[in-house]
Amino acid sequence: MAKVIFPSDLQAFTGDTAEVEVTSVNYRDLVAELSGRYPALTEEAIRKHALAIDGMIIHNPFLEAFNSDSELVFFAKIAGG
Amino acid sequence: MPLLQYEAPTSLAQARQALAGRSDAKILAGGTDLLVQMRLGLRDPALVVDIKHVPELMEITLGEQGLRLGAAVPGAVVTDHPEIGQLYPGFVEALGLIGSSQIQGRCSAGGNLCNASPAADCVPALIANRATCNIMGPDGERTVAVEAFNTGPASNCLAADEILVSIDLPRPGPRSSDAYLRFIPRTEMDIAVAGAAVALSLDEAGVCIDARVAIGAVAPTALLVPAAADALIGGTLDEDSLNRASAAASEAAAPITDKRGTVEYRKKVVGVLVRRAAGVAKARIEATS
Amino acid sequence: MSINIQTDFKTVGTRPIRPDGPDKVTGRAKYGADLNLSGMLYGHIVRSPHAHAVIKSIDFSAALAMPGVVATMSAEDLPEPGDRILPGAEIEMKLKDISPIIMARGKVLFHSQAVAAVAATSESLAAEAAKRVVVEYEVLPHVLDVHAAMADDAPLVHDDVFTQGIDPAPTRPSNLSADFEMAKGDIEAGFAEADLVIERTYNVPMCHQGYIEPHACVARSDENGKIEIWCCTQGPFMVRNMTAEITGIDLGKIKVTASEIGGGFGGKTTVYVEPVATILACKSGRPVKIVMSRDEVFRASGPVSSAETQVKIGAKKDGTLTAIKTDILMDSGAFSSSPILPATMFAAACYRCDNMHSRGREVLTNKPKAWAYRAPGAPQSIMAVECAVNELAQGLGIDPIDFRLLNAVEEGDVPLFGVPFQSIGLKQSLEAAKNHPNYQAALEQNQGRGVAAAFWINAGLQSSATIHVAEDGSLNVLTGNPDIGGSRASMAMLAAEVLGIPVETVRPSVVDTDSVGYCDTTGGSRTTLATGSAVMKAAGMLREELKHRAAAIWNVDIKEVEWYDGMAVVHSGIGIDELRDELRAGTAGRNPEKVLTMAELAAQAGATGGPLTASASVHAHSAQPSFAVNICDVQVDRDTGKVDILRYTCVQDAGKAVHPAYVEGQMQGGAVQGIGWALNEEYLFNDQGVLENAGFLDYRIPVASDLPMIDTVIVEVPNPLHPFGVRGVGEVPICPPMPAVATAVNRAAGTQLYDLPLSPPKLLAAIEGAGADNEAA
Ligand SMILES: Cc1cc2nc3c(=O)[nH]c(=O)nc-3n(C[C@H](O)[C@H](O)[C@H](O)COP(=O)(O)OP(=O)(O)OC[C@H]3O[C@@H](n4cnc5c(N)ncnc54)[C@H](O)[C@@H]3O)c2cc1C
Repeated sequence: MAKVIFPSDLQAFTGDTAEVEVTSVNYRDLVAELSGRYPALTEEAIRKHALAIDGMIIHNPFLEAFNSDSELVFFAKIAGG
Repeated sequence: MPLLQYEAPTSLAQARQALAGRSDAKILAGGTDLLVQMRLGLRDPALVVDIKHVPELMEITLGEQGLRLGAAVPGAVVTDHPEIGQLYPGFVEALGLIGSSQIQGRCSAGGNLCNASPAADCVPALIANRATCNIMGPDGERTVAVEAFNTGPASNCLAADEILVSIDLPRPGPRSSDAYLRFIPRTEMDIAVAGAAVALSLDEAGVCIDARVAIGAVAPTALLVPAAADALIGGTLDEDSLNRASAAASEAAAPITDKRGTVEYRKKVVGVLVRRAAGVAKARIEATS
Repeated sequence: MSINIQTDFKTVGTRPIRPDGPDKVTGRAKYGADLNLSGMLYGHIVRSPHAHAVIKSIDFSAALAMPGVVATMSAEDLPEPGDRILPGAEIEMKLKDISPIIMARGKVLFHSQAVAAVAATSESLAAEAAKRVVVEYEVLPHVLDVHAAMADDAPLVHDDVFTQGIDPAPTRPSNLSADFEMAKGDIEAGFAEADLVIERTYNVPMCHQGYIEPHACVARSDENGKIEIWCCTQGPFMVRNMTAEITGIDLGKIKVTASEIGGGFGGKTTVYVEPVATILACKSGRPVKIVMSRDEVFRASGPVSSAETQVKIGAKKDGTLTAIKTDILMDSGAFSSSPILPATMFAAACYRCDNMHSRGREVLTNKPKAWAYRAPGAPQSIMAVECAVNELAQGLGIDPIDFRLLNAVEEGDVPLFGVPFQSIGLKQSLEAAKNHPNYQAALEQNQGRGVAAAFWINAGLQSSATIHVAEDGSLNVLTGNPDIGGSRASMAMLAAEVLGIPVETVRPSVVDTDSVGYCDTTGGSRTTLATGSAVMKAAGMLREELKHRAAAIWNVDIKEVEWYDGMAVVHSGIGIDELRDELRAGTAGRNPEKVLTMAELAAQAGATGGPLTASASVHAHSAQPSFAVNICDVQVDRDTGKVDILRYTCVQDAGKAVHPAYVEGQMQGGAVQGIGWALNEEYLFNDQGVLENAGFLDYRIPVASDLPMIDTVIVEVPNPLHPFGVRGVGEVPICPPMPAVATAVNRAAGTQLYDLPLSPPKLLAAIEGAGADNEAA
């Protein structure tokens, strides 16, 4: 199962859970799976973040797929200069 | 909208005429203060009188008596002059500190003095060299020592219709030299936080027989500091006399705290500069005799 | 994920002359203020004289009564922002935090905020008319200091800002707009394990990006409602988007052309004057030009957040870090826009440490709205951590580079922000620094050395590129990213590399928003990486197309055509290896049966399917972090507190330097900006919230004579996600200078002064204080 790591701002919605395993293998399903599991974690809150899939930071991961052993890290979107 | 009037007289008489009875006129030399101030909205003259076509203001005369420097002569002309720098290296280095090459092609010692900034770099060096100002007004000429010329920040002793024509620097005696140092946080394109000029004459034994010390940016006008000079005269610029001169300069300084430095800082640094400038002037004498 | 990374290059890694160079050095290049149109009016902005006030009324009658005054505007002319989120922005931005910077609505929240504008037939008339706009204010109490702003009874900058990030959400509004934490491991256990703990507070002042060219634009509207904007910006598509949102004009009606740009550094990733000129142009029916003065740029464009950072850091005797705790307080000015997030996330990203805790707080004050500056947020917090690391290493008697080598992150390590590192070049950069002769140079009395390492994340984002082949086989490469640091050169080089053709035959252009696909802003160190990827993709597509054309000419199967060294070659008769050998040896001659050059293919384009052109776009996921290490040697004048930089060395992992000279330029420029921020640059406000040093005389960026030649070493640890190994290079250079300089100065002076800038009066007081302490001891 893929592993998901939540940054602290999202942990406020997951009841302080920092890490979970998911069965999804693409972003679309992942959003549904996570917002189903944590009702406070809305799709909107999730979409505010970029997603790092195995170290590759993806600003808008809408169509991304990953593997069942992938490590997924939600990552605050930040601006450059 | 009011229009700006511009006159470019070609003689002193014409210049006097242009200014006669006008309190809304400004004299333009290099314009490196005036034009900047006009752009910033700090000055709004109705008439600008460009004096760069008046021969007396653009002449350099170097003779037995010393230097007569036309008030509007650009800095670059002075710093490139083969002899002035040998006689008054401190004055020339002060002039050479102003702005950049572009600014120096325009800026004049006269403008630096008349603008009456407490931080003007030329002024302490002129004072240390016993310079005097030749002023032309409706009632004729008068002469004023540079240390008495400025009366406060942005104010000088000139009446609205008076013109600074030239500045006289007496020829220094044998075994004499001068130096000017300023402190800025950068290396150039900055305004003095403190400045110090020292002119010295030594005898054959290296004893200081004459000295003038002037400081800038630490009071409403550049100051002549006789107490600092007295500390140097009679000694050999030894530690003790340098300490006393330095302390006298710090004591004489009456600076303000602003974005460029605090009172304590300026007092301390002006003393450091006097000590260092005295050292430079001494080294210059030793190098040439 | 892994891809094959090319290591053998023909053009990449060379140093051709930049295509924009001659125009820039001769003055021919057209910058923002250089465009003039017939019938053009000049806009002038009326700005608030108060730091906090209610706008009670605006009366334009006296201004409009002046002959030559044609149009006026205020927030009344802009749609209410409501709760609208700016669509398509890199990060979430609320329109109500942007629109009031263009024109204040109801209230002014900082001195010099735009309140109204006029357009007139000359610049001086517009300035005069602006003075005659009568604005009635009701002055409100203001707050300038971050600590004062957090007090319960502080005047509120906004009454609808509730602290984000705390649980439960507060019910009372406050100036503390965000307060969040990130943690891993057990921070207290980490400190318990430590043999030495350093705890200290570091201050970095509010500063400005200091770009030399002020914001400038011309806007024009026509009878069809079409708007054209020419302006100096890092992102013409951003200008189009923001102007549309702020003015309510359809995005599709706006075309933006970016001029040459005299610096941006993050400061030109938003709009200030473009929507104003647009509205004035619409209202007057004439083109309107607005050029900000330097004074306006300082007072009313986005400065850079100040930061107060507390660091607590511990290590074992052997140098192993056991715990790193940072607590960062940032001043965002009047709107939430500070880079507190990256400051908090990346403060200690260089170090492998099991126990970390980082807290970030953003505070609103009645100062101009903070905006981005190279590697936004990172320089401020990295300053604190790096200084503390230096003190820790010194306390343990370990060389600061060895200390860092011992604790540096490498592939597989997981930083506080959670994303595991791929192949990175921190250790290699530290080794290169250690081996640099400058690190061995002897230091004399009153001299000191400081070392610092730094991290920056870099951006990818969206870009497009179009390539056209001219009839002679030369190329036009079109992108929408203004060339700030030599990107035209790198676009041309990347296209030349992919196609194997001489870079001189490639003409790169930055074109308007109607002429190329969408490109995110030039910023985030992304242009060579992301826009370059679009160029490479288009060049690759073109290469395939060229092979097809060659196959058609030769009437052979496409499989028999190879692209080699800028030419199509057919290997029907002989094997490709053999052909290559022949080509290398030059014995293949110019037999058109075997070889077709770009020029030959272009000449026959009409017969083989029409003009040769390719367009491509990317949403680049290949951005990877950059690391840098700086060494700074200074000399301190103990009598005046003046600091001279003796030697300065920048080492940086560029992944692959496409044009090494321009990478070095980025490194040197970042070093100089960081040195300025460390030594002299700072915003000085008086107690009324009025900036006292709104000009380059008293806002002291370094001048050339202040600095030695900045030595550079480019390290190349390829980005594993980019086919050439390229990483972004533009931002990380500004991250290490402040701690390198601060450490060097404190070592030279025997002080512990960490309140930047280390200006002479402050440093002299610290030297005297330290002297007094020593005498007392
Ligand atoms: C970029 C820059 C850098 C600078 N750096 C320095 C510096 O390092 N040190 C420094 O001291 N100054 C500096 N200045 C200020 C200025 O350049 C000097 O004060 C310069 O010497 C002024 O000379 P000017 O001929 O340009 O004067 P102007 O601007 O022409 O005149 C200055 C003032 O004096 C009056 N005036 C001029 N001539 C006469 C006269 N003959 N009779 C009566 N009134 C007269 C004018 O009406 C005006 O009020 C700098 C200025 C700039 C723009």
